[in-house]
Amino acid sequence: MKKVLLAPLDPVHDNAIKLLKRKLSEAGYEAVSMPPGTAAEEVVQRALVMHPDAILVSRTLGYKVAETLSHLVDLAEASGIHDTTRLGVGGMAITKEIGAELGFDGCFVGDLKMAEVIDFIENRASSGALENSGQTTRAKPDITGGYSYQFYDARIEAALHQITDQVLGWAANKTTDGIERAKIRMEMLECDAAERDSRANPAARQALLKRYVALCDADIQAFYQDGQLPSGVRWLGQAEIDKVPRLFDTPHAEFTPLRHTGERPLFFSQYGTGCPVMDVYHIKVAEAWGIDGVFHFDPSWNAQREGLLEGHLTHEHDGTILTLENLKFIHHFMEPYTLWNVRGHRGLNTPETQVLGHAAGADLFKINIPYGGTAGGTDPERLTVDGIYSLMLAAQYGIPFDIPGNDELSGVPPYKTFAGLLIMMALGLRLGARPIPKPLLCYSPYMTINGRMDDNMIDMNLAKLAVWRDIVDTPIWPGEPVGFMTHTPDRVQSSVQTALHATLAATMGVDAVTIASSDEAYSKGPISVQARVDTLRAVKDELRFQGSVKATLSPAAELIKEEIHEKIAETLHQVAQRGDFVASIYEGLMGSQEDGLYPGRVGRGTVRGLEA
Amino acid sequence: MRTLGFVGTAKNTGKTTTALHILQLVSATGYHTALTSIGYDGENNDHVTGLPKPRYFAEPGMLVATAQRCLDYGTAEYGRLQPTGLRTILGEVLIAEVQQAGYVHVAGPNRRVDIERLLQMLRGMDVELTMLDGALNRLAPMVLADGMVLSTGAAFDERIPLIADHAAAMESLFHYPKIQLGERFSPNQIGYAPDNGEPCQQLPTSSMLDAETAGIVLNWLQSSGPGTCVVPGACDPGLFLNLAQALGAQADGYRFVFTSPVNLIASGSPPTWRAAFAQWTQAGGTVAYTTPTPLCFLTVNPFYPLYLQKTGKYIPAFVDKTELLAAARKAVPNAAVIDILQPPHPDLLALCGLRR
Amino acid sequence: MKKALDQVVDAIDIETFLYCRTEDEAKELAEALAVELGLPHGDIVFLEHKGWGARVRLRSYIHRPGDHYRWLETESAE
Repeated sequence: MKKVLLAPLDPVHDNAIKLLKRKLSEAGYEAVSMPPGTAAEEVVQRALVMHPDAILVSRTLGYKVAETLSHLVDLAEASGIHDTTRLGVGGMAITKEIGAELGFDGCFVGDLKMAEVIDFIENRASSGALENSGQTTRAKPDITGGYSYQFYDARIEAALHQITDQVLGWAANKTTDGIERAKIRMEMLECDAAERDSRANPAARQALLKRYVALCDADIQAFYQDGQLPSGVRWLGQAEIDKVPRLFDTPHAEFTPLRHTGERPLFFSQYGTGCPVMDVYHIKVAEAWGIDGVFHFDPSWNAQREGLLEGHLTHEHDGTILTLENLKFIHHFMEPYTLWNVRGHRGLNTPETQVLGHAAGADLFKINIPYGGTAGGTDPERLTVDGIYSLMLAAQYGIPFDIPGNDELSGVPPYKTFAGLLIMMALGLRLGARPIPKPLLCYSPYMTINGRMDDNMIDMNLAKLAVWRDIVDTPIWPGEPVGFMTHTPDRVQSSVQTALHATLAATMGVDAVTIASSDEAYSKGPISVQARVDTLRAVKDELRFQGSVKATLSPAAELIKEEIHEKIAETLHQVAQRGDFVASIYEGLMGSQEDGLYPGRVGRGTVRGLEA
Repeated sequence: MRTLGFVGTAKNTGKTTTALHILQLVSATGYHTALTSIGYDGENNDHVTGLPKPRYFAEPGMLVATAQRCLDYGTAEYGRLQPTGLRTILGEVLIAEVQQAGYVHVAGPNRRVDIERLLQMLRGMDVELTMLDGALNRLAPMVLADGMVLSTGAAFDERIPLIADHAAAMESLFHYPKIQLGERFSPNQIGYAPDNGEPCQQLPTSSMLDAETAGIVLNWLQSSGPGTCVVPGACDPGLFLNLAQALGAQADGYRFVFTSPVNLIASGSPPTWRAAFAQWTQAGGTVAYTTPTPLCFLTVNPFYPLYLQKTGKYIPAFVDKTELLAAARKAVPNAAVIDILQPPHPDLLALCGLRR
Repeated sequence: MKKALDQVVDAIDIETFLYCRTEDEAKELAEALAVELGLPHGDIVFLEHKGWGARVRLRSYIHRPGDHYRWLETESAE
């Protein structure tokens, strides 16, 4: 058993020493602590008798404290114990550089990380305490791992089976310009000609680009043919691009996740400031403060035009322009464990978005036909054809896709939204993809108008999560972001709501949660980087507060859950009976005009039959 | 190869300024020089006070032994990197040759055993002079140096008489002779060999830091009569004073052997040592070292960081530089005392044994 | 020496509490404060008036996404 001598070297405080002693004893070490006020001579004398493997000192730095600490090191050196005993230090204001200056062999910076302390005692070279190389030990999580997607409700499963047969049969011989562009982009990737400065195969690139441009809207054609940039867009200069790596070239301590206990949920936030450089910075900040994954948000006009741009592009509007170059640039700087979702849940470029996302290294896609075909603004018929093709790509690439339930924000009751999510799940599963439904925790118009959250926001939200456990064995990922429509521009209020919703979801054992920044409800400017940190800090503390506590449903929540479950089954039955998924969206079976949902218009009449 | 150590009595006593001055003088001599530190040096501002610090500037051809991470900082360009296998908080220590002059960040090994290995490697690279920079008030690893430069000043204490007296007390510890010990003594244990031929007694510890150990040693001395007592590790000067007092005037023929004066300074207050040795030698006892690191010269620095309670910040402050230098010179008549910023200086290279 | 303002990644937020009697007065004061502090294009992100004072957060973007960021220039110039 290795022996550790713990000394506060502080006249009064020894809380850190007491904590270390308990944790080291639990970890199987013989930990001996000395009381506050112990002098360096006493510590060394004790060490001469005890022959510890390590001496750990805790002390807040201040003027002349450095001399006290280095006196201990010097005495340990003079007595010869430093030849065999390793000296470690931690405490407020202590940095690795100070630790080195004082002559310690290990230095513990920031919150107590037991793995680091134990590595140090064991004299393991991989220790973060010995050297912080910036190498991470966090692995990239698999959200869908361990889920069987077995349905527990036979009625729902049967209805989904019927709907899936109908949709896939309907879409089988249809295509769109969006799909054809995706195919061309795939060909470009295959012959290394997918980027603006691809030089490998100029003849092939020119030929493919000609075919691609023929399928684009006029302003996208103008970009390719005349080099005309859309309004407000500019090229990102090579000089700017080259400077970015310098921002992050110093080693850093390993970023710790938000979770206090366990491995789930994973926390996600969106980025899409409009500028890839700013995005990279925002992502790095979110990672430093504990985020597990990020979403790429593109500008809305990206969704409304046929065709995507190319190259490193930036602009002063929301959403970062989706190009292969921009995606690759942003992805390059992410930590190896960070999960990356490139969304393509709506718009005329949905299939190509999956192609580019995959080429740039995306871990997750986002596809939802009923939502994208209504609140997302895209024509349902168009998005059904494009969406199914996108699901096939997700299956082919082995990339899970999530299904946001944000149509609730328009006023749709949860059960109708959830019916749509289940149809998307069934379609994805049939095509071999791995879906992740995202029930939205929000204070939606349906809740306010019908008074469903007048007393509290817990029962409804818990019911909306619990109902999934009764229907299917699936990962659950509340979003997008949680607490939607509870936020105000008050950063305290906004952060508290985000933290409460995020951690309520955590008590239900969900797999991931998407959180907003505290700028969620501020609409007059871009999200600031400090607003991202606000909610990450709030969630971290709330998770610390509740630990591994799990929620149980109140009788009221149980009733809501049953009600949602029943109505999901009814809705799916109606869609199955209708026998036409696209018509069901147009007719509002999964959210009607009365609810506040209107079919999207962009891309209407653009579906065509496949040429024989 | 000659190894020169630079140590201070506290932070900000001017050891880097002194080392930089010597480095400048050395560069004219053409010595193949290496620089390393038992701490960390290189930032523009002090970690604690936030006040500006002098920085090491290295010329092409010089070797720097520093942690990997430090090579990314500073402005010097390096080549011919050689690993040492020695680890520090800031990464493995590499030996790098300066190819383009510039500021360097230096963080080398801090343990005696590791410094010894590094010096061995540098010797193998035909280095003629290694500058070993200390850190804060740490000096125990300097037992490996062939000579030492000691810096003190107002950052140690703002009272000039106290600085001078403390410097004198330290300097007094460097006056005792070297002794070669026989094989009777273990290098890591307190031992006592009486002159009467009785067998050598030993304790399973290197150091005398508690009353119990001191009591055992006193008992040996009293029961076996005159002889040689070796304390190879640290020793509390207060305990030694008590022991000397307990033995009274009957210390004739008794010898105490320590490793080095740096071990004594690392163990406790130099004025207490001075008092204890005065008592001991007056009663007829003697003192010797196995490794009596020579003191080349002393420097004094009038600067100190003054803490302003109201703003929570430090500002630079100074004691009277002329008075400080005069007081220190008066208190330490047997060694050269200089203020690097108050020339003229004696031949410092000669004092360091660096004249070719 | 780096200019601190150049190192502001995107926005400066100033939170304070203003003595005032009405929400309108609070808005006027907040806008005036942004001008007095020399904040370019100061905007009131949030304002909450109760009783005899107002909580307020002012924002001024030093760098908007798509700009040329001075923190990128200074970093690479080192």
